[in-house]
Amino acid sequence: MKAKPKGILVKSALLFVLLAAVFFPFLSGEYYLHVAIQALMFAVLALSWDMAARAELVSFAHAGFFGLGAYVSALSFLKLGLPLPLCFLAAVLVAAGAALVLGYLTLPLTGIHFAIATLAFTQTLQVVALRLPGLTGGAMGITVPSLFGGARLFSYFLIFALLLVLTGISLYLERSPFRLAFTAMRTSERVAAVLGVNVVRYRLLVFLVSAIFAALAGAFYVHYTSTTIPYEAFSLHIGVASLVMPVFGGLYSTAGPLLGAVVLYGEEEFLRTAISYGYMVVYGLILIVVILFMPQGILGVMRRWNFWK
Amino acid sequence: MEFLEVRGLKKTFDGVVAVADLHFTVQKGEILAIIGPNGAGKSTTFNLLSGLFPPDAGEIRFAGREIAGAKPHERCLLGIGRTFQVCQPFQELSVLENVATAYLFGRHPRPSLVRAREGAAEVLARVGLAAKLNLFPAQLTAPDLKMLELARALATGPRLLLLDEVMAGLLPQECIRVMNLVREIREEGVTVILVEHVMKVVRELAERVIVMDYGQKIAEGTYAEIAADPRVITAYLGQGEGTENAG
Amino acid sequence: MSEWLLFGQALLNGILKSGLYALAATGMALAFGVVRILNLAHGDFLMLAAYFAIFLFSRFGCDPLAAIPVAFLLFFALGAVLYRGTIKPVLRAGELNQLLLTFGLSVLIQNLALIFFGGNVKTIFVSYKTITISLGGLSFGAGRLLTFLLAVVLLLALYLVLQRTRFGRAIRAVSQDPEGAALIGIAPEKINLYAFGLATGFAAVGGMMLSVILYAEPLIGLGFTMKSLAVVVVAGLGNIYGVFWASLLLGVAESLVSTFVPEGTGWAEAIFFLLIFFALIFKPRGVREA
Repeated sequence: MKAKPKGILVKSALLFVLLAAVFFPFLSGEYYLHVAIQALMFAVLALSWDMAARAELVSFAHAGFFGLGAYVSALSFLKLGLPLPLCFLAAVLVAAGAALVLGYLTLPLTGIHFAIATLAFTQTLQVVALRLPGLTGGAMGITVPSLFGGARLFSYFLIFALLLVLTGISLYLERSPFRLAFTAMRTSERVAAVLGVNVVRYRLLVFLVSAIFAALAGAFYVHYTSTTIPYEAFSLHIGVASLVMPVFGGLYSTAGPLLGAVVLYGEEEFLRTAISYGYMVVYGLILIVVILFMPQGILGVMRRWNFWK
Repeated sequence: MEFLEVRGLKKTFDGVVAVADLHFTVQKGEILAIIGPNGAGKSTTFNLLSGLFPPDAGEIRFAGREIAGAKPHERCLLGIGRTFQVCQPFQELSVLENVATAYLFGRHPRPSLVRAREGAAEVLARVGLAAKLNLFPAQLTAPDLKMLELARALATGPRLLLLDEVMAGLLPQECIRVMNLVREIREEGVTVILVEHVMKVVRELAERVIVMDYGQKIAEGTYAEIAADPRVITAYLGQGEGTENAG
Repeated sequence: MSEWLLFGQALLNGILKSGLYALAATGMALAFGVVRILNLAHGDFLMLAAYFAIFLFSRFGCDPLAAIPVAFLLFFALGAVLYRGTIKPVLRAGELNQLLLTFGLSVLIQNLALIFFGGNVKTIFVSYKTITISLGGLSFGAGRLLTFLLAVVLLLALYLVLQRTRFGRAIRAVSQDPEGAALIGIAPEKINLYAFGLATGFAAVGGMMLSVILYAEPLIGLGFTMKSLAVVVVAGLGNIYGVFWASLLLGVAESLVSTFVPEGTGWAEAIFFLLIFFALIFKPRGVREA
């Protein structure tokens, strides 16, 4: 293997992307800045989903955590009058609590069973948000002031910073003993346990971190767009996006979900203006085509073509 | 004090008794074989010893400690290593990484990833897979998979090693090599319990043999002793004919 | 209305409602029990069939009840094609892939429906839709009664087929042990194809009745997927025989909550989700040996 030239190529590509991301908001117009902010938000969601998936937790709860983050943060602002950073903190704490309880209750479940249980969790939260109009505004939703008074530049760097932290965590997980533990658990939790892996601890830990970032994405979302409703915050769209993006980009990696999020959100934004619901049709198609023909996503295709050579 | 002491162990699945009132002890540094007809409860016994199922009743004392309630990874850290009868390699990890996982999370005091890889490579050399470190399990032959299974168990650094039919499907010369390896491991102070169907292996390797049938111990002794025991002969001959419980 | 009459009415509503749930869930249970695939797009087949009924009615004046055999055959074929093209290739590919695939199908079907049929609710008015039957102070719609009776008849027919025919025995054999079935000369692939076809066929019958008693709307399928999931999970994943009783239980529970809990109509939905959740977690599951 010619490891060195490949390493340099990857590093310079990364540096370029990073620099482009830092300077982008100063060069772009408001519309593209808005698109970029949303794309970064979905990248947070997608990467957080992938992290749980690495430990075989196929979660439909991420729309639930996203919505929970959005509602808790918005309500902390509206009902408790907390300053914004504390609102975000409240979202983190509530989501962490929910993740621990949900994670603990679902410990005996794997695969499909875990997926169904987490789907039920999200749907229950949506019903609760709809049925407590006194607190949540019911189907009418909630409205909060715009983040940073609508200054998109600050919003951009906030979500960018959040994504950088998450990317750092994800890269650490990929390069530490965690990767071996998660991959082992994905094959068989029993075998992993017999070899000394504390399965319960790792499962809860990764689900906790994953849920916290999904909730942070939700909290960011509600303050950035300044409004949300239960059918949006806990929606199928969020649930679909959180898993289609990693699947499309390449599962169980850091680059895959990020790549998937940027490409697919771009597609979504483009099609949204052309055909309504068109982007969701494309999501459905992509899921089917990727599962049937390119199970390792874009990264897998790039590997096969020896893209980096 | 006994190294391993099992008292009144019991496990049922949906009313079907898999292990019923099992008693036995193992001395430190011993090689013990458990034999018995299919469905006698041998694999369930291993699952109970390694903590994959909680027992319905009974005690397991290991190195002076009661462990019947301990979780599988806690038992691994106490020094119980095991192989599975059906090989269960981690398909997405290379051979080296498979074993490194065991080295990393086993009894070694917080090794670095680099150290774990080195340790894993050493263990793989012992079982004869030194040339196949970077292959993936799907590329291995059936005997190689058995050796990978053994290497993973060894890499946890066990004090008690449970071998579930590691010799099944091996060629005679491979069998001899593995038997020598097991003796070598024992010389290093590891206690070994093996579940085995190959009688030649039991005869040559085991110092003591326990015969199980219907979830209970029906005989115990040296190979020569149990081979002459009428209860053992009945258990094996009566297999599948619905004869009464010999124990 | 006295308390007891109200209770009786709620009970009756629940029982009749369970007919549609049983029709919807039977297909999901068949697909899970035999083909071993959890089809998250199952409810969307109901939605498609409901639109099909509305199309036939508004274009040709064809009564949905009369069109049931046609719809059944058509959706049987659709199911068979989908099985060959999408389900079969992932059967050996692991649970995650299967789940994502049927989820993708669901998202695709729903949003194509939104584009082609529009987001509005569509209804049809067959002659018997407005007929209400009164009996000793209780009243119920003829459409719901018909649906319930149809469900009872079809489920009985399915049970008889499973118990009494060669084909039924083959299905049960594959459901219990596909490899064993292959050994005694049953082709699991063929059985899977028929079972998945039957599953979508049952969904089509449910969809035709849905058009009669409720309405059609592109996203209505998701609700039926969730309700079928609840029924199937409560019945025991893959247990076809338990579907009827589980449907009854859920129908009655939903109806009682929406009658007796203030603002219960919305909370009743949550019951399904909580039932799914707790049935999964607390159901004792068999432990397989290593």
